[in-house]
Amino acid sequence: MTDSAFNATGVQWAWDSTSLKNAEKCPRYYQYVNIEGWVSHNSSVHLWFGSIYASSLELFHELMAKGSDREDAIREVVRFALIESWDHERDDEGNRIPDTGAPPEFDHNTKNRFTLIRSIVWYFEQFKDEFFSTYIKADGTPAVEHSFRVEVDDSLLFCGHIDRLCLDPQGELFVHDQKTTGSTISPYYFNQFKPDTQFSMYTFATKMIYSAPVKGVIIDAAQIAVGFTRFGRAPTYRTDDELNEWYDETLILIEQMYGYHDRDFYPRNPASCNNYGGCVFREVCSRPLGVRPNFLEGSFTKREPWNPLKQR
Amino acid sequence: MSNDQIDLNELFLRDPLSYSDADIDRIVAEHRDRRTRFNLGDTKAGSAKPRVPKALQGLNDDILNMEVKL
Repeated sequence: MTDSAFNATGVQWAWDSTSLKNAEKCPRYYQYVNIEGWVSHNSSVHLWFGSIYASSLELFHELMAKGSDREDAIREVVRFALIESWDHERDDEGNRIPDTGAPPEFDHNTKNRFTLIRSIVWYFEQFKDEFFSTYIKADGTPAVEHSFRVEVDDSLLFCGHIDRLCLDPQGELFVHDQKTTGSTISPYYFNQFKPDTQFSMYTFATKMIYSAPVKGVIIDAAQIAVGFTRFGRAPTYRTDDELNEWYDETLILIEQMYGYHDRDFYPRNPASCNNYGGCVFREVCSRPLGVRPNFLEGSFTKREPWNPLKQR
Repeated sequence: MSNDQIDLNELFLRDPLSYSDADIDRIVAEHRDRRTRFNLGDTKAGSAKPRVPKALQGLNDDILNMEVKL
């Protein structure tokens, strides 16, 4: 059974970067998503695509770190992605039943099964001359698909999942992360990652876990378009001062969320409503109070709230 | 649509649990070829929908209209 990220009084004690970013965006957004579990009907294709894409690349690095031939690894990764992107019926033990099911259908013109496989194969062509090596942990296993939990002050837990730890040719340690986007990859695109809670947390956590001078994060970004996938790679660095500042800000942010919980009221942050094409809840928040539940029910699905402690 | 494209589309519709190593290699090779063509300037090389040559665009409509008239 998965642990709950919320304690008996209903406040969140285990925080991942998704939870923190939601709280940063808007307390009301955090309430809708992290506490009440509302999910936009359109969010699933991005999670589906991004999850299989990242898992596929993680598998590749794991196979290579274990000594696999590159072409064999690519074949196994593509096979993995093709299977993961097919919704088989399952038997009582959860095993896929051959000759059943079909690919999921999403009403999205760029993110689909075809572009997923294309993006994976094109990624391996783009980064054929890989000069980052996977970090091998003390127990001899490659540092890929690494879930972390780090206890910090105030009985809080920072948790998350790192795609991969890698070493550059100079032996410097970095977190390696994958992003997919519909935007053009440019220096402007990479600017959004500093300051950024996800990569500050990853750098912070890996420094604590490995007691090593982790420099920051190498970001591989993939622009998914109808007729192509284009790639970019850039680092984002974090100094100790910057991590300390992020840590202090994060504890204050969490304290604010506790305050809203105690008041049983999470205010809206109108300054965030129009960011990145507009908040998904903008239509809800713009309605009179009395009718908002109807708009939530009509446009969103209620699921189990996002759980940072759920093992991937 | 070329025979290779038809075959790949049909392959993509099959249960992936049934794929042989050769099937996977074909899919990988096809996507690598598309990337090569994209890098050479064919900006639609990676599209799932093959382009209809200009000479053939509208041809189907003409044929349909002829059939209706007949």
